[in-house]
Amino acid sequence: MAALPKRIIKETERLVSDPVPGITAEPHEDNLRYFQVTIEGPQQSPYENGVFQLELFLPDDYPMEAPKVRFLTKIYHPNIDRLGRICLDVLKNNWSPALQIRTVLLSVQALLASPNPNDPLANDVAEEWIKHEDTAIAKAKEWTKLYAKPTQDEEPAKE
Amino acid sequence: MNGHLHTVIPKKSNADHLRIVGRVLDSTVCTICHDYMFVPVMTSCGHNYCYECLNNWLNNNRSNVSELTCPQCRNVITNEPSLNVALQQIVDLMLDIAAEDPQKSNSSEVRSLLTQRECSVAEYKSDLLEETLFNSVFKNTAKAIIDDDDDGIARCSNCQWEVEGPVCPNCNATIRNYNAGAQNFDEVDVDEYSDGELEEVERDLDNYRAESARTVHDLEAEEGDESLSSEMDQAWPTRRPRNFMHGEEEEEEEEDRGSIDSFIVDEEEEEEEEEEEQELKDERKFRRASVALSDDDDNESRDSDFYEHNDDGYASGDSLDESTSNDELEPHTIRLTHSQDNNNNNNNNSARKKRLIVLDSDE
Repeated sequence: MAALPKRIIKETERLVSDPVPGITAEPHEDNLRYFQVTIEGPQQSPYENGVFQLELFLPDDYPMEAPKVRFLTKIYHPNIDRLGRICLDVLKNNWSPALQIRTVLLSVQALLASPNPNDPLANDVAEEWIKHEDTAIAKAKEWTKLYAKPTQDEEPAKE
Repeated sequence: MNGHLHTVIPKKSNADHLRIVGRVLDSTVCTICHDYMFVPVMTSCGHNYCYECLNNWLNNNRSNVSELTCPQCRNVITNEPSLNVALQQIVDLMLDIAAEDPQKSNSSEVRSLLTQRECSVAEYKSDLLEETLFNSVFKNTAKAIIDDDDDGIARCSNCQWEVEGPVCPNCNATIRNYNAGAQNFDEVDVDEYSDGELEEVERDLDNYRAESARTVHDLEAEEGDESLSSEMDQAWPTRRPRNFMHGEEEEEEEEDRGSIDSFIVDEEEEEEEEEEEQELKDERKFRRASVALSDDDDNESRDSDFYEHNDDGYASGDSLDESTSNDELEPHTIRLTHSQDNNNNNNNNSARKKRLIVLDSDE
């Protein structure tokens, strides 16, 4: 693999020195292009109080190509499918090299705050979201409680 | 100097001084590589990038997206970005100050920055000399621009020639917004038509639909479905019609992208082709008729005009080996109808409807 571009090193340093509130991203020891990410569910969303695990990978062409981001934690959301893949424009056609890891993760967090069932990835969820929004939101909350628990070492700090 | 800005900036402590320098330097950092811009180029929307970074983006971008866009504001970049000399002077000055300092000049950081600057400048200069700035993306490609004061005719941004297809017939530039064109290029504002006019257009469409449906029905009856489809399977795979019409490319986008390069034909070849064009025209009419009838929105009277409009656009791209005898045409016709029926989605239909209306209005 090619040497790590300066930009990735700089971004990683800044993620550590100046972290985004509610978001953590740590590079893997063996592969500095692979990040383990956690995103806190936004307040006043069905995902509130949940902590979601994600993985983020910077392809060789980054920043000419968008990072690959995927939810590892199960989540009930119209734009996120069973495999954790995310339907988000900036990760696809609307990627721009002026975006960064932190801005992409902020966009993902914003997607949690405002699900868009009209541009669905998980069709069943989106359908439910449109037809019975209350039930869908209740289910999203339930899944958040069930699956998006803060990790063990974070828990004592919160209590 | 009249402004005396330097006299009104308050005298600062060393720490403040460092912060000011830091702020100035921050504004010389490229948002793509997060490094200093030794060769800053500015887009028409006012954003600056390293020449190398923007070059990478515009040429990388081109494979998936037809438009060239600014990374910071996503505005379409139509004109070649130019060197921002003032910004370059600031960066140069800062580095020169560091390089002149006897204590700092030999530090590895300063030396690596100096090498970096040398490489960036050399790359830019060589591209400038060879006239291949931005891999010539702004010369080999153009944007179709529609001027409403000019009857809404799409013109090549390089040479102002009228363009219809994916390549400018005059300067051979690939039309960058041709793919996006299915939406913008052809879109017509329905409001331009009065209610009466729209109804008339729709009535015409209905008539044509009925007419052409009968034709296909007759053909099917004559040949029998099975024999037709077996014939077609032989004739079809190597002879899929290209996207002569903008609306069709939605279905065949992939193929279209791949074949855009092969569309560029030398002028000489083009002339040779003209002789055969008449022959091809007949064949095309057949195909077009079938396309139109399957989406239920054409009309016989504008039919021939419609084809005239499209002929120029694709004559240069159509390969000669596509000229087939009339015997083979009927199967094509029917096959198109079938596949369109299966594949067409509403978007295609509506896009096509809009296009047909535009063409009609050109008369």
